Amino acid sequence: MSNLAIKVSNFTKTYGDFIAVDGISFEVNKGEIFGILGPNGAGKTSTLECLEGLRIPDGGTIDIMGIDPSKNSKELKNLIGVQLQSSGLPSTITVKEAMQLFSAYHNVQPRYDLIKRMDLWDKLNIQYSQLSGGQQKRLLIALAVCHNPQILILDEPTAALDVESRVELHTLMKELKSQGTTIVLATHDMAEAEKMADRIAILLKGKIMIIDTPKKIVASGSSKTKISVRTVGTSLVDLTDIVVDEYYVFYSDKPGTKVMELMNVIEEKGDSLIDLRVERPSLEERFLEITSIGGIQ
Amino acid sequence: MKAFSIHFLFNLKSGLRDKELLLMNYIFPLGFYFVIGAIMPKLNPQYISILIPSMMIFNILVSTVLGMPNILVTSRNSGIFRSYKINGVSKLSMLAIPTVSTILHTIIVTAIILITAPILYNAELPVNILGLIIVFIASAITFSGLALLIGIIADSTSLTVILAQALFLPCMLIGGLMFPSSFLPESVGRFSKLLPTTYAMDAYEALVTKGSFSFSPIISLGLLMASGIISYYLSWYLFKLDNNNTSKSKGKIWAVGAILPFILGAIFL
Repeated sequence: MSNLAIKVSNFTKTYGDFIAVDGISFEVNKGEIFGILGPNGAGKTSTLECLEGLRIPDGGTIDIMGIDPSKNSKELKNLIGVQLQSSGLPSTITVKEAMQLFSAYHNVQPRYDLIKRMDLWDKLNIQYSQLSGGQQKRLLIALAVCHNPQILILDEPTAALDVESRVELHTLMKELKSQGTTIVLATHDMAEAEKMADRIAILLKGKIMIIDTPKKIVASGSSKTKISVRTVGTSLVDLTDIVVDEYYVFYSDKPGTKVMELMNVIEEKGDSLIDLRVERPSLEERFLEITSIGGIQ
Repeated sequence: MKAFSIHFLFNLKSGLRDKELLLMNYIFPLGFYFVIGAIMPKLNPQYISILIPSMMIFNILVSTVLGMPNILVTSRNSGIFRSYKINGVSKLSMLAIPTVSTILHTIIVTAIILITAPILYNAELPVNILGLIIVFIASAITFSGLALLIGIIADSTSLTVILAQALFLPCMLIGGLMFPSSFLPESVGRFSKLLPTTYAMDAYEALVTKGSFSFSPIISLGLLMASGIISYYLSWYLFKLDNNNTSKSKGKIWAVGAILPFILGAIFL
Protein backbone atom coordinates (compact mmCIF):
# COMPACT_ATOMS: atom_id res chain seq x y z
CA MET A 1 0.00 0.00 0.00
CA SER A 2 3.13 2.22 0.18
CA ASN A 3 2.77 3.96 -3.16
CA LEU A 4 -0.92 3.35 -3.54
CA ALA A 5 -3.47 6.00 -2.65
CA ILE A 6 -6.52 3.97 -3.63
CA LYS A 7 -6.98 0.25 -4.10
CA VAL A 8 -10.31 -1.07 -5.33
CA SER A 9 -10.77 -4.86 -5.54
CA ASN A 10 -13.74 -6.70 -7.06
CA PHE A 11 -15.98 -3.77 -6.14
CA THR A 12 -19.68 -4.30 -6.82
CA LYS A 13 -22.62 -1.98 -6.29
CA THR A 14 -26.23 -2.92 -6.96
CA TYR A 15 -29.55 -1.11 -6.66
CA GLY A 16 -32.21 -3.80 -6.34
CA ASP A 17 -31.77 -6.03 -9.38
CA PHE A 18 -29.72 -3.43 -11.25
CA ILE A 19 -25.96 -3.96 -11.18
CA ALA A 20 -24.42 -0.50 -11.34
CA VAL A 21 -20.83 -1.64 -10.84
CA ASP A 22 -19.83 -5.20 -11.59
CA GLY A 23 -16.72 -6.39 -9.78
CA ILE A 24 -14.21 -3.78 -10.92
CA SER A 25 -10.64 -3.50 -9.67
CA PHE A 26 -8.16 -0.68 -10.07
CA GLU A 27 -5.39 1.08 -8.22
CA VAL A 28 -4.48 4.75 -8.09
CA ASN A 29 -0.93 5.76 -7.24
CA LYS A 30 -0.07 8.60 -4.91
CA GLY A 31 0.34 11.89 -6.75
CA GLU A 32 -1.41 10.58 -9.84
CA ILE A 33 -4.31 12.16 -11.72
CA PHE A 34 -6.61 9.27 -12.47
CA GLY A 35 -9.42 9.85 -14.93
CA ILE A 36 -12.68 7.94 -14.91
CA LEU A 37 -14.62 8.11 -18.16
CA GLY A 38 -17.83 6.49 -19.24
CA PRO A 39 -21.22 7.22 -20.73
CA ASN A 40 -24.17 7.98 -18.46
CA GLY A 41 -25.10 4.94 -16.38
CA ALA A 42 -21.65 3.38 -16.72
CA GLY A 43 -21.13 3.29 -12.94
CA LYS A 44 -18.88 6.34 -12.50
CA THR A 45 -21.02 8.05 -9.89
CA SER A 46 -21.60 4.84 -7.91
CA THR A 47 -17.85 4.25 -7.88
CA LEU A 48 -17.10 7.78 -6.72
CA GLU A 49 -19.84 7.72 -4.09
CA CYS A 50 -18.42 4.52 -2.60
CA LEU A 51 -14.92 6.03 -2.64
CA GLU A 52 -16.32 9.04 -0.79
CA GLY A 53 -18.10 6.89 1.80
CA LEU A 54 -21.54 8.06 0.73
CA ARG A 55 -22.61 4.54 -0.23
CA ILE A 56 -21.65 1.10 0.98
CA PRO A 57 -20.32 -1.40 -1.59
CA ASP A 58 -22.28 -4.61 -2.01
CA GLY A 59 -19.14 -6.59 -2.75
CA GLY A 60 -15.38 -6.27 -2.86
CA THR A 61 -13.17 -3.86 -0.97
CA ILE A 62 -12.16 -0.22 -1.20
CA ASP A 63 -8.99 0.93 0.52
CA ILE A 64 -8.12 4.62 0.67
CA MET A 65 -4.72 5.12 2.30
CA GLY A 66 -5.51 2.18 4.58
CA ILE A 67 -9.03 3.37 5.38
CA ASP A 68 -12.29 1.64 4.48
CA PRO A 69 -14.55 4.58 3.50
CA SER A 70 -17.75 2.76 4.43
CA LYS A 71 -16.56 2.17 7.98
CA ASN A 72 -14.32 5.10 8.87
CA SER A 73 -15.98 8.20 7.48
CA LYS A 74 -14.56 10.39 10.27
CA GLU A 75 -10.96 9.50 9.40
CA LEU A 76 -11.76 9.81 5.71
CA LYS A 77 -13.11 13.38 5.84
CA ASN A 78 -9.72 15.00 6.43
CA LEU A 79 -8.00 12.72 3.95
CA ILE A 80 -10.20 13.43 0.96
CA GLY A 81 -11.63 16.53 -0.65
CA VAL A 82 -14.69 16.11 -2.78
CA GLN A 83 -16.40 18.25 -5.36
CA LEU A 84 -19.62 16.42 -6.07
CA GLN A 85 -21.57 16.97 -9.24
CA SER A 86 -24.86 16.79 -7.35
CA SER A 87 -24.03 18.60 -4.16
CA GLY A 88 -25.08 21.95 -2.93
CA LEU A 89 -24.97 24.45 -0.14
CA PRO A 90 -27.78 26.15 1.76
CA SER A 91 -29.19 28.90 -0.45
CA THR A 92 -28.67 31.61 2.17
CA ILE A 93 -25.07 30.83 3.12
CA THR A 94 -22.55 33.44 2.00
CA VAL A 95 -19.23 32.61 0.36
CA LYS A 96 -17.41 33.70 3.52
CA GLU A 97 -19.64 31.67 5.83
CA ALA A 98 -19.29 28.58 3.64
CA MET A 99 -15.52 28.80 3.83
CA GLN A 100 -15.65 29.36 7.60
CA LEU A 101 -18.05 26.46 8.10
CA PHE A 102 -16.22 23.87 6.00
CA SER A 103 -12.82 24.92 7.35
CA ALA A 104 -14.13 24.58 10.90
CA TYR A 105 -15.40 21.07 10.23
CA HIS A 106 -11.90 20.17 8.98
CA ASN A 107 -10.18 21.95 11.91
CA VAL A 108 -8.24 24.32 9.64
CA GLN A 109 -8.15 28.09 9.26
CA PRO A 110 -10.40 29.48 6.50
CA ARG A 111 -8.54 29.56 3.18
CA TYR A 112 -9.54 32.96 1.82
CA ASP A 113 -6.65 32.73 -0.64
CA LEU A 114 -8.64 30.05 -2.44
CA ILE A 115 -11.63 32.36 -2.59
CA LYS A 116 -9.42 34.99 -4.23
CA ARG A 117 -7.92 32.42 -6.56
CA MET A 118 -11.35 31.25 -7.64
CA ASP A 119 -12.19 34.89 -8.43
CA LEU A 120 -14.87 35.09 -5.75
CA TRP A 121 -13.31 37.73 -3.49
CA ASP A 122 -15.82 40.39 -4.47
CA LYS A 123 -18.61 37.87 -3.79
CA LEU A 124 -17.48 37.18 -0.21
CA ASN A 125 -20.75 38.32 1.36
CA ILE A 126 -23.01 37.15 -1.44
CA GLN A 127 -25.40 34.29 -0.73
CA TYR A 128 -24.93 30.98 -2.54
CA SER A 129 -28.27 31.25 -4.36
CA GLN A 130 -27.21 34.59 -5.85
CA LEU A 131 -24.03 33.19 -7.42
CA SER A 132 -24.00 32.05 -11.04
CA GLY A 133 -23.66 28.33 -11.83
CA GLY A 134 -19.96 28.76 -12.58
CA GLN A 135 -19.35 30.75 -9.40
CA GLN A 136 -21.13 28.09 -7.34
CA LYS A 137 -18.95 25.41 -8.93
CA ARG A 138 -15.79 27.44 -8.18
CA LEU A 139 -16.83 27.87 -4.57
CA LEU A 140 -17.45 24.12 -4.21
CA ILE A 141 -13.99 23.43 -5.62
CA ALA A 142 -12.41 25.92 -3.19
CA LEU A 143 -14.25 24.21 -0.31
CA ALA A 144 -13.10 20.79 -1.53
CA VAL A 145 -9.43 21.75 -1.26
CA CYS A 146 -9.59 24.08 1.77
CA HIS A 147 -8.09 21.44 4.08
CA ASN A 148 -5.27 20.36 1.73
CA PRO A 149 -6.63 16.85 1.18
CA GLN A 150 -4.28 14.05 0.18
CA ILE A 151 -6.86 12.77 -2.27
CA LEU A 152 -9.11 15.05 -4.29
CA ILE A 153 -12.19 13.65 -6.02
CA LEU A 154 -13.60 15.85 -8.75
CA ASP A 155 -16.85 14.97 -10.50
CA GLU A 156 -17.35 16.98 -13.69
CA PRO A 157 -15.37 19.91 -12.28
CA THR A 158 -15.28 21.99 -15.43
CA ALA A 159 -18.94 21.62 -16.39
CA ALA A 160 -20.53 25.11 -16.41
CA LEU A 161 -17.13 26.80 -16.06
CA ASP A 162 -15.99 29.51 -18.47
CA VAL A 163 -12.65 29.21 -20.26
CA GLU A 164 -10.68 31.30 -17.74
CA SER A 165 -12.02 29.36 -14.77
CA ARG A 166 -11.31 26.09 -16.53
CA VAL A 167 -7.68 27.11 -17.13
CA GLU A 168 -7.37 28.25 -13.51
CA LEU A 169 -8.75 24.93 -12.28
CA HIS A 170 -6.35 22.97 -14.46
CA THR A 171 -3.45 25.04 -13.12
CA LEU A 172 -4.62 24.38 -9.57
CA MET A 173 -4.88 20.66 -10.29
CA LYS A 174 -1.33 20.62 -11.63
CA GLU A 175 -0.10 22.48 -8.55
CA LEU A 176 -1.85 20.04 -6.23
CA LYS A 177 -0.41 17.13 -8.17
CA SER A 178 3.08 18.59 -7.88
CA GLN A 179 2.54 18.79 -4.11
CA GLY A 180 1.72 15.08 -4.06
CA THR A 181 -2.08 15.25 -4.07
CA THR A 182 -3.79 12.33 -5.74
CA ILE A 183 -6.68 13.41 -7.96
CA VAL A 184 -9.54 11.27 -9.17
CA LEU A 185 -11.23 13.04 -12.05
CA ALA A 186 -14.56 11.95 -13.49
CA THR A 187 -15.38 13.88 -16.61
CA HIS A 188 -17.23 13.81 -19.90
CA ASP A 189 -14.67 16.20 -21.38
CA MET A 190 -12.31 13.95 -23.36
CA ALA A 191 -9.88 16.76 -24.10
CA GLU A 192 -9.64 17.51 -20.38
CA ALA A 193 -9.06 13.85 -19.52
CA GLU A 194 -6.44 13.48 -22.24
CA LYS A 195 -4.65 16.63 -21.15
CA MET A 196 -4.81 16.21 -17.37
CA ALA A 197 -4.95 12.50 -16.53
CA ASP A 198 -1.88 10.30 -16.09
CA ARG A 199 -4.05 7.22 -16.47
CA ILE A 200 -7.64 6.70 -17.46
CA ALA A 201 -10.22 4.00 -16.81
CA ILE A 202 -13.13 3.76 -19.22
CA LEU A 203 -16.25 2.27 -17.65
CA LEU A 204 -19.13 0.73 -19.54
CA LYS A 205 -22.13 -1.01 -18.01
CA GLY A 206 -20.41 -1.29 -14.65
CA LYS A 207 -17.20 -2.84 -15.98
CA ILE A 208 -13.79 -1.39 -16.73
CA MET A 209 -13.23 -1.68 -20.46
CA ILE A 210 -9.70 -0.36 -20.52
CA ILE A 211 -7.31 1.22 -18.07
CA ASP A 212 -4.07 2.82 -19.22
CA THR A 213 -2.37 6.09 -20.09
CA PRO A 214 -4.30 8.28 -22.55
CA LYS A 215 -1.63 7.74 -25.23
CA LYS A 216 -1.71 3.98 -24.94
CA ILE A 217 -5.52 3.91 -24.92
CA VAL A 218 -5.59 5.96 -28.12
CA ALA A 219 -2.85 3.85 -29.68
CA SER A 220 -4.66 0.62 -28.89
CA GLY A 221 -7.58 1.57 -31.13
CA SER A 222 -8.23 0.72 -34.75
CA SER A 223 -8.47 4.36 -35.84
CA LYS A 224 -5.84 5.52 -38.28
CA THR A 225 -3.85 8.72 -38.27
CA LYS A 226 -5.22 11.43 -40.54
CA ILE A 227 -2.69 13.12 -42.88
CA SER A 228 -3.80 16.27 -44.70
CA VAL A 229 -1.54 17.67 -47.41
CA ARG A 230 -1.90 20.86 -49.46
CA THR A 231 0.28 21.35 -52.51
CA VAL A 232 0.78 23.97 -55.21
CA GLY A 233 0.11 21.48 -58.01
CA THR A 234 -1.96 18.33 -58.38
CA SER A 235 0.73 15.75 -57.73
CA LEU A 236 -1.39 13.86 -55.17
CA VAL A 237 -4.70 13.91 -57.02
CA ASP A 238 -4.46 10.30 -58.17
CA LEU A 239 -3.58 8.96 -54.71
CA THR A 240 -6.76 9.86 -52.82
CA ASP A 241 -10.44 10.52 -53.45
CA ILE A 242 -10.78 12.66 -50.34
CA VAL A 243 -10.20 16.36 -50.80
CA VAL A 244 -11.33 18.76 -48.10
CA ASP A 245 -10.75 22.51 -48.40
CA GLU A 246 -7.96 21.97 -50.99
CA TYR A 247 -6.25 19.43 -48.71
CA TYR A 248 -5.65 15.89 -49.93
CA VAL A 249 -6.57 13.61 -47.03
CA PHE A 250 -4.97 10.22 -46.31
CA TYR A 251 -5.47 7.72 -43.44
CA SER A 252 -2.67 5.46 -42.29
CA ASP A 253 -1.69 3.28 -39.34
CA LYS A 254 1.97 4.03 -40.19
CA PRO A 255 1.94 7.80 -40.48
CA GLY A 256 5.74 8.22 -40.65
CA THR A 257 6.11 5.93 -43.65
CA LYS A 258 3.09 7.45 -45.36
CA VAL A 259 4.36 11.01 -44.98
CA MET A 260 7.74 10.03 -46.43
CA GLU A 261 5.99 8.33 -49.33
CA LEU A 262 3.87 11.43 -50.04
CA MET A 263 6.92 13.72 -49.85
CA ASN A 264 8.70 11.56 -52.40
CA VAL A 265 5.73 11.74 -54.78
CA ILE A 266 5.55 15.54 -54.47
CA GLU A 267 9.29 15.85 -55.13
CA GLU A 268 9.32 13.38 -58.02
CA LYS A 269 6.48 15.24 -59.77
CA GLY A 270 8.17 18.63 -59.26
CA ASP A 271 5.36 19.86 -57.04
CA SER A 272 5.70 22.03 -53.91
CA LEU A 273 4.31 21.47 -50.43
CA ILE A 274 2.20 24.27 -48.90
CA ASP A 275 0.98 22.64 -45.70
CA LEU A 276 1.13 19.27 -43.95
CA ARG A 277 -1.05 18.26 -40.99
CA VAL A 278 -0.83 14.99 -39.08
CA GLU A 279 -3.67 14.28 -36.65
CA ARG A 280 -3.47 11.20 -34.52
CA PRO A 281 -6.75 9.60 -33.42
CA SER A 282 -8.21 11.39 -30.40
CA LEU A 283 -9.25 9.93 -27.09
CA GLU A 284 -12.78 10.87 -28.02
CA GLU A 285 -12.68 8.70 -31.12
CA ARG A 286 -11.22 5.84 -29.12
CA PHE A 287 -13.83 6.33 -26.40
CA LEU A 288 -16.63 6.21 -28.95
CA GLU A 289 -15.08 3.12 -30.50
CA ILE A 290 -14.93 1.35 -27.13
CA THR A 291 -18.42 2.34 -26.02
CA SER A 292 -20.05 1.63 -29.40
CA ILE A 293 -18.74 -1.92 -29.65
CA GLY A 294 -19.32 -2.67 -26.00
CA GLY A 295 -15.69 -2.72 -25.17
CA ILE A 296 -14.38 -5.38 -27.54
CA GLN A 297 -10.79 -4.26 -27.93
CA MET B 1 -17.61 22.32 19.02
CA LYS B 2 -16.37 25.39 17.11
CA ALA B 3 -17.74 23.94 13.89
CA PHE B 4 -21.06 23.19 15.55
CA SER B 5 -21.24 26.78 16.86
CA ILE B 6 -20.50 28.28 13.44
CA HIS B 7 -23.05 25.98 11.85
CA PHE B 8 -25.67 26.78 14.47
CA LEU B 9 -25.06 30.52 14.17
CA PHE B 10 -25.42 30.35 10.40
CA ASN B 11 -28.63 28.35 10.73
CA LEU B 12 -30.00 30.87 13.20
CA LYS B 13 -29.29 33.72 10.78
CA SER B 14 -30.82 31.67 8.00
CA GLY B 15 -34.10 31.75 9.93
CA LEU B 16 -34.16 35.50 9.27
CA ARG B 17 -32.54 35.60 5.82
CA ASP B 18 -34.68 32.94 4.23
CA LYS B 19 -38.00 34.57 3.31
CA GLU B 20 -40.00 31.41 3.86
CA LEU B 21 -38.46 30.84 7.28
CA LEU B 22 -38.86 34.50 8.22
CA LEU B 23 -42.54 34.17 7.34
CA MET B 24 -43.01 31.02 9.40
CA ASN B 25 -40.79 32.03 12.32
CA TYR B 26 -41.94 35.61 12.80
CA ILE B 27 -44.31 37.24 10.32
CA PHE B 28 -47.12 34.67 10.35
CA PRO B 29 -47.16 33.88 14.10
CA LEU B 30 -46.80 37.50 15.19
CA GLY B 31 -49.20 38.82 12.53
CA PHE B 32 -51.79 36.21 13.51
CA TYR B 33 -51.28 37.01 17.19
CA PHE B 34 -51.85 40.73 16.64
CA VAL B 35 -55.00 40.10 14.56
CA ILE B 36 -56.45 37.45 16.89
CA GLY B 37 -55.57 39.51 19.96
CA ALA B 38 -57.50 42.45 18.53
CA ILE B 39 -60.55 40.49 17.36
CA MET B 40 -61.18 37.41 19.51
CA PRO B 41 -61.56 39.05 22.97
CA LYS B 42 -64.28 41.28 21.49
CA LEU B 43 -66.17 38.27 20.14
CA ASN B 44 -65.54 36.12 23.20
CA PRO B 45 -64.27 37.95 26.32
CA GLN B 46 -63.23 34.62 27.89
CA TYR B 47 -60.72 34.14 25.09
CA ILE B 48 -58.36 36.60 26.76
CA SER B 49 -57.54 33.92 29.33
CA ILE B 50 -56.18 31.58 26.66
CA LEU B 51 -54.66 34.23 24.36
CA ILE B 52 -51.13 33.75 25.66
CA PRO B 53 -51.03 29.92 25.68
CA SER B 54 -52.92 29.56 22.39
CA MET B 55 -50.65 32.02 20.61
CA MET B 56 -47.54 30.48 22.19
CA ILE B 57 -48.52 27.03 20.99
CA PHE B 58 -49.67 28.39 17.63
CA ASN B 59 -46.25 30.01 17.25
CA ILE B 60 -44.48 26.72 18.00
CA LEU B 61 -46.82 24.87 15.61
CA VAL B 62 -46.21 27.27 12.72
CA SER B 63 -42.44 27.62 13.13
CA THR B 64 -41.85 23.89 13.42
CA VAL B 65 -44.53 22.08 11.41
CA LEU B 66 -44.85 24.65 8.63
CA GLY B 67 -41.26 25.90 8.62
CA MET B 68 -38.87 23.05 9.30
CA PRO B 69 -39.86 20.20 6.94
CA ASN B 70 -39.19 22.08 3.69
CA ILE B 71 -35.67 22.92 4.80
CA LEU B 72 -34.94 19.25 5.46
CA VAL B 73 -36.41 18.12 2.14
CA THR B 74 -34.49 20.81 0.24
CA SER B 75 -31.27 19.91 2.06
CA ARG B 76 -31.68 16.30 1.07
CA ASN B 77 -32.86 16.84 -2.52
CA SER B 78 -30.30 19.50 -3.44
CA GLY B 79 -27.33 17.54 -2.12
CA ILE B 80 -26.64 19.67 0.97
CA PHE B 81 -26.75 16.63 3.27
CA ARG B 82 -24.33 14.79 0.97
CA SER B 83 -21.99 17.74 1.03
CA TYR B 84 -22.24 17.90 4.83
CA LYS B 85 -21.60 14.18 5.25
CA ILE B 86 -18.44 14.27 3.13
CA ASN B 87 -17.11 17.20 5.13
CA GLY B 88 -17.69 15.54 8.47
CA VAL B 89 -20.99 17.03 9.59
CA SER B 90 -22.64 14.39 11.75
CA LYS B 91 -26.20 13.15 11.37
CA LEU B 92 -26.86 14.54 14.84
CA SER B 93 -25.81 18.02 13.71
CA MET B 94 -27.87 17.79 10.52
CA LEU B 95 -30.97 17.02 12.60
CA ALA B 96 -30.27 18.99 15.79
CA ILE B 97 -29.12 22.31 14.33
CA PRO B 98 -32.30 23.20 12.39
CA THR B 99 -34.40 21.92 15.31
CA VAL B 100 -32.66 23.91 18.03
CA SER B 101 -32.42 27.08 15.95
CA THR B 102 -36.15 26.89 15.15
CA ILE B 103 -36.95 26.45 18.84
CA LEU B 104 -34.80 29.47 19.64
CA HIS B 105 -36.88 31.54 17.21
CA THR B 106 -40.05 30.33 18.91
CA ILE B 107 -38.61 31.41 22.28
CA ILE B 108 -38.06 34.92 20.92
CA VAL B 109 -41.60 35.14 19.54
CA THR B 110 -43.05 33.73 22.78
CA ALA B 111 -41.17 36.39 24.71
CA ILE B 112 -42.64 39.07 22.43
CA ILE B 113 -46.14 37.66 23.06
CA LEU B 114 -45.59 37.53 26.84
CA ILE B 115 -44.34 41.11 26.90
CA THR B 116 -46.94 42.65 24.59
CA ALA B 117 -50.13 40.71 25.44
CA PRO B 118 -50.69 42.43 28.83
CA ILE B 119 -49.93 45.85 27.32
CA LEU B 120 -51.92 45.56 24.11
CA TYR B 121 -54.81 43.31 25.12
CA ASN B 122 -54.92 43.36 28.93
CA ALA B 123 -54.07 39.67 29.01
CA GLU B 124 -52.98 38.40 32.41
CA LEU B 125 -49.45 37.11 32.66
CA PRO B 126 -49.29 33.52 33.87
CA VAL B 127 -48.47 33.29 37.57
CA ASN B 128 -46.93 29.84 37.33
CA ILE B 129 -44.00 30.60 35.03
CA LEU B 130 -42.50 27.17 35.64
CA GLY B 131 -45.73 25.58 34.39
CA LEU B 132 -45.56 27.77 31.29
CA ILE B 133 -41.97 26.73 30.66
CA ILE B 134 -42.85 23.04 31.10
CA VAL B 135 -45.73 23.29 28.62
CA PHE B 136 -43.51 25.23 26.21
CA ILE B 137 -40.76 22.61 26.38
CA ALA B 138 -43.18 19.70 25.96
CA SER B 139 -44.89 21.41 23.00
CA ALA B 140 -41.57 22.35 21.40
CA ILE B 141 -40.28 18.79 21.68
CA THR B 142 -43.49 17.32 20.27
CA PHE B 143 -43.95 19.69 17.35
CA SER B 144 -40.28 19.85 16.42
CA GLY B 145 -40.17 16.05 16.51
CA LEU B 146 -43.23 15.76 14.27
CA ALA B 147 -41.84 18.46 11.94
CA LEU B 148 -38.52 16.65 11.75
CA LEU B 149 -40.28 13.41 10.93
CA ILE B 150 -42.37 15.05 8.18
CA GLY B 151 -39.20 16.47 6.65
CA ILE B 152 -37.49 13.09 6.83
CA ILE B 153 -40.26 10.98 5.29
CA ALA B 154 -41.47 13.42 2.62
CA ASP B 155 -39.64 13.02 -0.68
CA SER B 156 -40.79 16.37 -2.06
CA THR B 157 -41.82 19.78 -0.79
CA SER B 158 -45.33 19.28 -2.17
CA LEU B 159 -45.78 16.19 0.01
CA THR B 160 -44.36 18.16 2.92
CA VAL B 161 -47.09 20.75 2.52
CA ILE B 162 -49.81 18.07 2.49
CA LEU B 163 -48.48 16.32 5.60
CA ALA B 164 -47.86 19.58 7.47
CA GLN B 165 -51.32 20.91 6.66
CA ALA B 166 -52.87 17.60 7.69
CA LEU B 167 -51.50 18.30 11.15
CA PHE B 168 -51.76 22.09 11.20
CA LEU B 169 -55.36 22.63 10.09
CA PRO B 170 -57.09 20.24 12.54
CA CYS B 171 -54.89 21.61 15.34
CA MET B 172 -56.03 25.13 14.46
CA LEU B 173 -59.71 24.32 14.08
CA ILE B 174 -60.44 21.82 16.85
CA GLY B 175 -57.19 21.57 18.81
CA GLY B 176 -58.18 24.06 21.51
CA LEU B 177 -56.28 27.03 20.10
CA MET B 178 -59.30 29.11 19.08
CA PHE B 179 -61.69 27.87 21.78
CA PRO B 180 -61.53 25.22 24.53
CA SER B 181 -61.92 21.62 23.38
CA SER B 182 -64.71 21.19 25.95
CA PHE B 183 -66.88 23.38 23.68
CA LEU B 184 -66.77 20.72 20.96
CA PRO B 185 -69.49 18.12 20.34
CA GLU B 186 -68.54 14.73 21.74
CA SER B 187 -67.76 13.12 18.37
CA VAL B 188 -65.49 15.98 17.34
CA GLY B 189 -64.09 16.14 20.85
CA ARG B 190 -62.92 12.54 20.56
CA PHE B 191 -61.20 13.38 17.28
CA SER B 192 -59.55 16.37 18.91
CA LYS B 193 -57.86 13.95 21.32
CA LEU B 194 -55.75 12.82 18.36
CA LEU B 195 -54.20 16.29 18.22
CA PRO B 196 -51.15 17.39 20.21
CA THR B 197 -52.47 20.94 20.69
CA THR B 198 -55.42 19.57 22.68
CA TYR B 199 -53.04 18.10 25.25
CA ALA B 200 -50.76 21.14 25.23
CA MET B 201 -53.65 23.49 25.93
CA ASP B 202 -55.07 21.13 28.56
CA ALA B 203 -51.71 20.88 30.29
CA TYR B 204 -51.49 24.68 30.33
CA GLU B 205 -54.94 24.92 31.92
CA ALA B 206 -53.99 22.32 34.51
CA LEU B 207 -50.54 23.67 35.37
CA VAL B 208 -50.74 27.42 34.83
CA THR B 209 -54.28 28.81 35.05
CA LYS B 210 -55.68 26.01 37.26
CA GLY B 211 -58.84 26.39 35.15
CA SER B 212 -61.01 23.68 33.68
CA PHE B 213 -58.97 20.82 32.34
CA SER B 214 -59.84 17.31 31.16
CA PHE B 215 -56.75 15.24 31.92
CA SER B 216 -54.06 15.05 34.52
CA PRO B 217 -51.14 17.25 33.37
CA ILE B 218 -48.88 14.24 33.79
CA ILE B 219 -50.93 12.36 31.21
CA SER B 220 -51.03 15.33 28.79
CA LEU B 221 -47.33 16.04 29.13
CA GLY B 222 -46.54 12.32 29.00
CA LEU B 223 -48.40 11.88 25.73
CA LEU B 224 -46.74 14.97 24.25
CA MET B 225 -43.28 13.89 25.32
CA ALA B 226 -43.84 10.31 24.18
CA SER B 227 -44.87 11.50 20.73
CA GLY B 228 -41.90 13.87 20.56
CA ILE B 229 -39.38 11.25 21.63
CA ILE B 230 -40.81 8.65 19.22
CA SER B 231 -40.66 11.25 16.43
CA TYR B 232 -37.02 12.04 17.19
CA TYR B 233 -36.12 8.36 17.26
CA LEU B 234 -37.94 7.65 13.98
CA SER B 235 -36.35 10.71 12.36
CA TRP B 236 -32.94 9.39 13.35
CA TYR B 237 -33.81 5.90 12.13
CA LEU B 238 -35.38 6.96 8.82
CA PHE B 239 -32.87 9.73 8.00
CA LYS B 240 -31.27 9.42 4.58
CA LEU B 241 -28.76 11.56 2.77
CA ASP B 242 -30.60 11.44 -0.54
CA ASN B 243 -33.65 9.90 -2.16
CA ASN B 244 -31.63 7.10 -3.77
CA ASN B 245 -31.61 5.22 -0.47
CA THR B 246 -34.67 3.05 -1.14
CA SER B 247 -34.15 0.77 1.85
CA LYS B 248 -35.02 3.63 4.20
CA SER B 249 -38.08 4.54 2.12
CA LYS B 250 -39.61 1.16 2.85
CA GLY B 251 -39.58 1.93 6.58
CA LYS B 252 -41.69 5.07 6.30
CA ILE B 253 -44.76 3.28 7.57
CA TRP B 254 -43.11 3.32 11.00
CA ALA B 255 -43.68 7.09 11.07
CA VAL B 256 -47.27 6.36 12.10
CA GLY B 257 -45.76 5.41 15.46
CA ALA B 258 -45.30 9.12 16.19
CA ILE B 259 -49.04 9.62 16.64
CA LEU B 260 -49.53 6.36 18.55
CA PRO B 261 -49.62 8.14 21.95
CA PHE B 262 -52.47 10.34 20.74
CA ILE B 263 -54.34 7.36 19.27
CA LEU B 264 -54.10 5.70 22.68
CA GLY B 265 -55.27 8.97 24.24
CA ALA B 266 -58.32 9.12 21.96
CA ILE B 267 -59.21 5.52 22.78
CA PHE B 268 -58.66 5.43 26.52
CA LEU B 269 -59.18 9.00 27.76
